[in-house]
Amino acid sequence: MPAERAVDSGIRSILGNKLEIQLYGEHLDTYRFSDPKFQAEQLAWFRNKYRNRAIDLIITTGLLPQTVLPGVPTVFCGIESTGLAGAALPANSTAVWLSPDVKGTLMAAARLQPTAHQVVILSGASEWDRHLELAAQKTLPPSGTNWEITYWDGMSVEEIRSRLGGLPKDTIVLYLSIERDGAGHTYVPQDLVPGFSAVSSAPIYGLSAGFIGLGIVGGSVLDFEAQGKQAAEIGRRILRGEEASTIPPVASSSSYLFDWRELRRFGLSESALPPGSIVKFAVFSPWQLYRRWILSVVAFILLQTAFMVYLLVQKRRRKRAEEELVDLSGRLINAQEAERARIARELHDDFSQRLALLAIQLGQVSQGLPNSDKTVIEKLNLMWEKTIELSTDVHKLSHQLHSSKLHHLGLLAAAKSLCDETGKQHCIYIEFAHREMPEEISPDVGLCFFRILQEALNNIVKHSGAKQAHVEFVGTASQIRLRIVDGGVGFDPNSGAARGGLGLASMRERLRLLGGSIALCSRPTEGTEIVAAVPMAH
Amino acid sequence: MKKPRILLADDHVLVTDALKSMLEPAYDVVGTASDGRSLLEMTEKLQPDLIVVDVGMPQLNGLDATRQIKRLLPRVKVIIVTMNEDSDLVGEAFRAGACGYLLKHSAAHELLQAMQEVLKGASYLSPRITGGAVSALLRGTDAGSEKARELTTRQREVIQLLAEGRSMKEIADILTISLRTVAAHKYRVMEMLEIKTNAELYHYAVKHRIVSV
Repeated sequence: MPAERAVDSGIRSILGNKLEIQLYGEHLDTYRFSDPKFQAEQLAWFRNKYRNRAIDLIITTGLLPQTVLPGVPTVFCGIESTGLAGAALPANSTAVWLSPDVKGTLMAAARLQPTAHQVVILSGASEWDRHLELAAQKTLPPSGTNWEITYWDGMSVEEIRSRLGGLPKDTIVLYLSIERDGAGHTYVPQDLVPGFSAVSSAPIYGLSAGFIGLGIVGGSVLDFEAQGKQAAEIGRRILRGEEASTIPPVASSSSYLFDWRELRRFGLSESALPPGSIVKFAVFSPWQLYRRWILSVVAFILLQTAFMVYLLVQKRRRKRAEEELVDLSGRLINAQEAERARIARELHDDFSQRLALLAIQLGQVSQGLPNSDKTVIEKLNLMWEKTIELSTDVHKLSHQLHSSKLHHLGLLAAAKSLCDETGKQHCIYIEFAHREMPEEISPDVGLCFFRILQEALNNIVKHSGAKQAHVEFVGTASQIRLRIVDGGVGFDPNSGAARGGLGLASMRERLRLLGGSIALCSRPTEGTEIVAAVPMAH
Repeated sequence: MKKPRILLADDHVLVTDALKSMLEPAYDVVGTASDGRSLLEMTEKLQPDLIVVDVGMPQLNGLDATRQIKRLLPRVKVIIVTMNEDSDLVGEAFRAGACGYLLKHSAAHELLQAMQEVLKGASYLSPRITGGAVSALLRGTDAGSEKARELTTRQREVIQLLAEGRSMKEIADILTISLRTVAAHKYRVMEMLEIKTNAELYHYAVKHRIVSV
């Protein structure tokens, strides 16, 4: 019987596998073979069997309290205290009483099915079946309920099964025990549970922990294994020397145990369970099983997303800042050009005129002097020459600052004249060429190329020591390209001096504003080549 | 002997003053003009023997003024005194009818001599003008300038005034012609030169030295 096996396993979990304890198990099957005469014969047989074994402790389950082996301390379990029928426990013994909790189970059912008023009690014809039914009848109906209670106690299992299917859903079915049905067939009570559960249209409650998992919703159930443990604990105390009769009998406790699947099947709310209930066989949703993982992953993803958003925002801010920078540098360059033009005009219109006037006046003074004042005349002539030089320099400066030629005659004319002038002034042979240049070049592009050429020629004059240079403008369908090559000393483009220079930086900046680019190729002793290109769209 | 009558034209008053004070003892400076247009009026009125003229002047540039003066009064001699060292200009100046060409800052040294030469009927080119001028003279003139010379005097006047940024109304007042005539000149020129915008017109004027910069 499953209950006996459960008790046995409870006992073994406490007392088993110990060197100093030798366990003997004997199967009496007292529940199914309850004939007192047979039981007495069986007892006699056991006494005979163990007469020379010096047994120290007996734990029985389901056996009515009586002397098993004279003088050997005994712990009775698996029976109800009512089994004593008022008599005292035999000498040198104690007990763990079984107390089926019909009331607790029905109260739990009432909580789960508050609207139910039909209650069906399933019971059989065996002594134990009747005993349980009697115990149930004593507590039914619980006060405060309008339950209509039906006892199905004389039916065959088949009849019960066919009736269970027709029950209204909101019925409470309490399955006590059927060891023998109305038709006289005997059963192991728990073996009937799956069959009942399969056909029943109403939830079935039970009293045994062994029924849980087979198809009952649950209840305040007896746990036979726990009972075995309790008995074994008491047995251990006896083995240590305590007198069995001094240990008061205890009642086994029932616990609220439920089957999650059955609760779900009948739509019974877990929150309505009595406090302290244990729900078994719960099939956890992924959320319940992996909540921590899911939360971690979600948190991680959120964090990741937040980080990405942060990066995107940063990127946008940076882009905006860069745009502002481009805008600013564009405006700076424009402002610089405007200022250059203003200064150039001032130099041209005012300063050079005044210098010319000064030259005229110096000339007049020297002309007005008698020829005898040779030294003074010479000095004045020198001053006059210096003034002309100054005037020429101012004129040149004015043109460098703002090329009126570029403005009026266009890029090619201005570039050619710049090359000619630079070449003449510094004794460098500058070859100037142009191919397929478009007629119309926007002032921005013209100015950009002109400034780059100015800067490049300036560098050639100052640093390269070249005696020859080549300047070439080429127009293609997609871009205008300026190539400047010199045969000078060259330099290391990666050196700090080359990179830190303002000249190259300003070339790059001007080109960047027009979507253009610059490539610089140079090696010490191998000259320098600069290629600047601006797309045609401008 | 009666002193030769001289007319000075330069938009920088200080310069004309300096030149005037320099010339006064030997010459009779009958007037000073600060723009090309008043130069024309004064020339007609005063009938000078010689005009000393700057190239860059508002309203009407020195070269175009020279051209017109030579047409109206071929007898009048013109000496160009300029800031511009660009040798290309020399050829233009002589073709326009000038007899002398020198740089402004050399005026004290060369102007008197140049005037003597020119009044004698010779030409004067400053020795300070570099060899470029000779080759420029030899090279003659480019096609663009040819085309520019095909324009009538009036058309060139209108172009310069437009290039100086004057309104059609102003131009009409300056040239004492009707607004419609100014417009007609303008569109005729633009048609001839295949020019579409005022900016292009300006570039043309600069390129062909109708205005100086």
